[in-house]
Amino acid sequence: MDINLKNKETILQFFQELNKSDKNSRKEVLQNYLHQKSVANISKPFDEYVGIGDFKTGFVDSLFDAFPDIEIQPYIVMGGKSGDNNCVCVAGNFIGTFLNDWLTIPATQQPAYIRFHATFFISDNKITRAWYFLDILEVIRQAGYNLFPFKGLQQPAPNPMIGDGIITYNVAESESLKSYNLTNAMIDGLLEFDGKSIDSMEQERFWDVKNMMWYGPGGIGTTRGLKGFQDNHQIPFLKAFPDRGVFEEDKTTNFVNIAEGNYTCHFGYPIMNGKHTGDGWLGLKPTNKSFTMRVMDFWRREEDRLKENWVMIDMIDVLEQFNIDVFQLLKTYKN
Amino acid sequence: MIATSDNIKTVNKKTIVSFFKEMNATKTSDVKNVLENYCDENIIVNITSPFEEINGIESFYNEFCQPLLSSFPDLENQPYILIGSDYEGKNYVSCTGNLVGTFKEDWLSIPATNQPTWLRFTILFRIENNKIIKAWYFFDMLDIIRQAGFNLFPNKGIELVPPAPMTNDGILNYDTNSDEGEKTLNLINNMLDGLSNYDGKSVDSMGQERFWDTKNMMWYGPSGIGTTRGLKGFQNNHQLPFLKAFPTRGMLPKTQEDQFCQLGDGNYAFDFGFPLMYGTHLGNDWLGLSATGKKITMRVLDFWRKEDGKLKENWVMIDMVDILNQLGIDVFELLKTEIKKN
Repeated sequence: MDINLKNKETILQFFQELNKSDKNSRKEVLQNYLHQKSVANISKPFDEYVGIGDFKTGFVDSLFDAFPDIEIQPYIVMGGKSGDNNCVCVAGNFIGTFLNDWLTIPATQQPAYIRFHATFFISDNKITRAWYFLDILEVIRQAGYNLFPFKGLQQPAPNPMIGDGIITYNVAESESLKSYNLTNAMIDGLLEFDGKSIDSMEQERFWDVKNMMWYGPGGIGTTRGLKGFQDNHQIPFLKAFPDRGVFEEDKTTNFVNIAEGNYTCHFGYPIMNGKHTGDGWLGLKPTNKSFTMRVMDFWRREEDRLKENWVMIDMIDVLEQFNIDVFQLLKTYKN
Repeated sequence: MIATSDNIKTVNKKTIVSFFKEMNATKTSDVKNVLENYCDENIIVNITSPFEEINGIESFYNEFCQPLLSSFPDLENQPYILIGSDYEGKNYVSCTGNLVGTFKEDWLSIPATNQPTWLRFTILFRIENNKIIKAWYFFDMLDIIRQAGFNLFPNKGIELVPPAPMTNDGILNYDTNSDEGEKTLNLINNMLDGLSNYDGKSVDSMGQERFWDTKNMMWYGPSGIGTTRGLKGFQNNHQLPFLKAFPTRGMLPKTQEDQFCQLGDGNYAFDFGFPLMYGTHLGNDWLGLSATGKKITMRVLDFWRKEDGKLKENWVMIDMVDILNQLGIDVFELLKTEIKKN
């Protein structure tokens, strides 16, 4: 079997076995799929975990304690070679009944959707590196706390409109290349920003201008159409971070830029830097702090335009660099 | 346009897929042409409240399509389940999903938000000779009102636009194994029989644990009720409050042609009645209401997805505005009051 397909099947099996696992079998499932010295980085307030035991106690157990019936439900699973690494990139939700407080977020006794993106590096059928993005602000919103005023609509992001995001079918190399070129040309366009007008980025060349959907993280929200995207995300973002830039890609680690079929994934941990010099973003005043940003994007192409874009940002990490402690804020709201 | 296939079910499903595709791609001014290509000129359309029965393409366009597209000019149909089969000798396609659009102008007195809005819908099409002769549209009106910022009723479950099937395989625009569809249909009918065995005292009398993925089932109810997880979540947040409010609820006898429909296709099944059930509003708390003592009928439909022999997901739509009307509660009057308050 093709190594890429095999890796995607491995990840899907890993999720399936985790979903069926219990307290006693969980460690064994992790041992079956993770390299002994596997390193996992998880967005804030989580950290870096080295080895299976560390990952289990630091992350997995905390999830199962708070959401005992938790299930992983991916809606995009794609793979490819990024630099020297065979990787699989995933978008989806952890769904579970929120029975016990998690990260000081009060349990709701209701189903919760923990939106996530993840990147896996796989070698000899084992996960050697993993990065997880969790939309914690969205979980906090579902628990009843809106800590920041958002411009877009707040809702767990949906599956791809046409339901073909789990790529275990054959794709033509030429289609993947088309997606890759389109997405990267669009990103190049973003970097043409002249600091004055968003028109300088000529984004209308790349998107389904009328119907594109942009599924941003909690705190920003979902937008529709190029104009909706510009008004509700791009303009406020550029106003707050006018000199934002993208890090040079390092082929060995921490970056992914792949395409498969109609889908592309771009990931950096961190990928951007900037300085917080303008107001309005998340309702904040400028703090003049320099910061870096962890971001992971998925796009779906339809014919020659980008139609959907799932975006995760480690918002808590960004806010922390502005000296804003989300969990301290939550505590204030709870009281 | 339509692929050649001997299987009429598949032909019909493909017809509806291309109908949606053309509707999405068409400029508003040409929508009527698309309707004429796919619908019988005497089409009968029933839409949940506040709409009423519509006859003919002209009225369908003027009374429904045109105002909808004025309010949501970039409206796109995004189904996530689309199945088809026959019932009582008639051919049907049923689909559920969202109409997604930017809410630009007030619709049915709901204030426009200038934000993307998901209009959750189900449509049942009855098809003859490649033309739609009847259609039933369900909208989750309370959810649209919620997305516009007005929570008129307290929900027991969580409020969200329900997701597509976990397995992303709901669009069955191909020939499916008919045994599998039959199996799914039997499973839901056994489950429904269980519901009818309610002894009026305990939900345990319905033996529902035999049919569901008791730990992880998802029940995606209409706004006003919300989404629940697990058999216990379903019982606590929907079934118990519902049975308390309508303890004598039951299935209506058939009084009109095509009042009911049941379809099984692959791992999916569908059950529909317009109306389906009756009840008397004898108990408190459902939607936060006090008992009114009124007799009502309910327009209800369900989609289920089967996984490993058990029901795993259930999408449920109920014409809530219609029920509330029968209880003497006018949702749009309530909304008006809320708008004034703001």
